[in-house]
Amino acid sequence: MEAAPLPRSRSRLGPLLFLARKSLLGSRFTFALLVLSVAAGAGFQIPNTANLAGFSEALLEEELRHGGGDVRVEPREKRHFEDGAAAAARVSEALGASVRAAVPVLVLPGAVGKGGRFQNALVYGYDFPGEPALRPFHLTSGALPAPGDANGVLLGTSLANRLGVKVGDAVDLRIILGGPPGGAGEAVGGPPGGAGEAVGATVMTVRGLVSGSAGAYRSAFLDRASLAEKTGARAAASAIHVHLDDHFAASDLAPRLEARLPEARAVGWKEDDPYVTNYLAANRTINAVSYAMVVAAISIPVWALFHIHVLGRRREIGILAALGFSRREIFGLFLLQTLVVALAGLSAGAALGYGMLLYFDAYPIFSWEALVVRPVVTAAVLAGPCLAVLATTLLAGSVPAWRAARTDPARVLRRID
Amino acid sequence: MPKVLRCESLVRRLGAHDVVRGASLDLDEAEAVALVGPSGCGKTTLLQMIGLLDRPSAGRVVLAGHDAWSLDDAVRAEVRLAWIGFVFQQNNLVEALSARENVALPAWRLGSSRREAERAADALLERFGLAARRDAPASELSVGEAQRVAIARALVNRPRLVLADEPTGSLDSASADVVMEALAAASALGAALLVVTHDLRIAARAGRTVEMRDGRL
Ligand SMILES: Nc1ncnc2c1ncn2[C@@H]1O[C@H](COP(=O)(O)OP(=O)(O)OP(=O)(O)O)[C@@H](O)[C@H]1O
Ligand SMILES: [Mg+2]
Repeated sequence: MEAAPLPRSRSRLGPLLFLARKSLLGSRFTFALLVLSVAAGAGFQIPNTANLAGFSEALLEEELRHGGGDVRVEPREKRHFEDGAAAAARVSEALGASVRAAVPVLVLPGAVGKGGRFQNALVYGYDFPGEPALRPFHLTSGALPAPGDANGVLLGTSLANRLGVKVGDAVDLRIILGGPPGGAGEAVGGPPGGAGEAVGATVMTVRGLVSGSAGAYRSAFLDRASLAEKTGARAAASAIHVHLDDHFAASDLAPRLEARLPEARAVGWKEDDPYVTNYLAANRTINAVSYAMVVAAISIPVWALFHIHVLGRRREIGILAALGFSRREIFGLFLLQTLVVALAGLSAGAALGYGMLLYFDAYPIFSWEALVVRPVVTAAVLAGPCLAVLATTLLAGSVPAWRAARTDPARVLRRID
Repeated sequence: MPKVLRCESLVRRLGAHDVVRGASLDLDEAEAVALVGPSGCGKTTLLQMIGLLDRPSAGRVVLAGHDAWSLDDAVRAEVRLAWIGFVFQQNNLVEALSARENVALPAWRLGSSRREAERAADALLERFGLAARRDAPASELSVGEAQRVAIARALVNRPRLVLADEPTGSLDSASADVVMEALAAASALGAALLVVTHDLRIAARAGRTVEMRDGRL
């Protein structure tokens, strides 16, 4: 007996798409619920991820760019670098191209007073005007002191509020210069003529008010040379703040810097500032937990609703099998429906998410001093939630689709339902 | 003349019970065979094994010279699509589709364009007196209309073998006659026809009647 050639045709998308559309439209309510659950997942995860990315970004920006820099370099033995600018130049040279700026500062403990009432303050000697993007403060009113301005001071807003001073007012500035008396300033509390704390006392004029969450709000900033003069070393700096292009290179660069400059101690922000490190880690954890919630919140209803959808179509599946649709095509038919749900849900969710992003941009989730957290809307940030939602929906939907493909047509067709 | 169908000692065990126990049957081109037998004797089970929907526990189904159950799933699906037309007792149609879409679907899937498939469907529906109902959703057709649509769908790819499982089981005798006319048309197109029926009148119309009893022919 001669065998006839076996029939051969290619699987075609057209009939499957048609059947998928009819199948979904035949279960509009289920379809709507499916789209809703995917949309809710995407709509919440998009602003969540964007806000948390905004939080991390704002924190790094404020704490490092407008704070102590990425690496803090201090003298290992001595109290100060005698020549801050020269030390900063040595640091720059030692680190090479990865350094954006090396800024010498002279930070001393002190107090600011008005009418006999004093408030604790860090006193910063800074080389005005400095690079605006890397200043350890944000000028909120008034003007920067000119370089060499020996009488001008910038006051943190919180300090100014507590003292009730404004731009143009005079304030008493007390600075603990440290070490044995020798420079300008009067000795107090020590044995006469012996070693004791030297305190500089000056009347200064408030040139401007500054904010900044890294500490500026309760600090005073004045010309570094004028402050240094009070310590007896005209060019002194207590530290060099090193700004890098890449924050996350700090931990690697700090030890390399110490190897090149044995007289200096270099600490990266991760080691120096566990607050920021912990905050970033917390953000990552919250984001991961939020992702997990979204995965659960999408996969459970998608799985359950598609499961019910498939159960309700067992006879139809049997008929399609009898007509000549292969298991692979039946799997594809239900996976296509999942894909339609995923894309429709993602579109609706992206619209919802966009609305939430607009809202959070107008009403930031965190706003204090210059630390204002706005959602970061970049392709990289948005890709995460979108891909997670897409993958979750497809994976959750593929389980019932696989069950549909495993339906035994003989069993379901034997009954007359 | 090549045999369209040859069943060799088909056995189907369901649970602990052999529902079909050694059924052998040959069908030639354009031959019509009626399969009769008491309820529960295994007729539907046999038809599903022949139609490549239910794997036999033993024995072979040879379709146009091919041991059909040794083919892989995708090829078996192709064989169902191109060579076999199925008609069940009831609820044959995909409810979400119209009469015409139901009939056109296998042709579209086999390779025709959608338009060609719909044209072929329209021709068959017209032949079975359903031209006016072609856009009706399957769920709104009467049982007799739906059976005729199912037969049209079974014929649209010009199959070698039509398997009908009590196609008139739930119809009155007038509608049953219309459906049987339609099946006779299938034979006239050259297909081999195997029809399960309780109705001796219908059995008499077939060229050959095979009786099944306790899983044996
Ligand atoms: N899953 C199963 N397990 C065990 N026995 C089964 C199973 N499914 C069907 N059967 C039995 O197999 C036998 C044959 O069933 P089948 O549907 O083939 O009979 P039939 O001849 O088509 O009957 P009818 O004329 O009533 O349609 C019946 O006795 C039925 O009870
Ligand atoms: Mg039966």
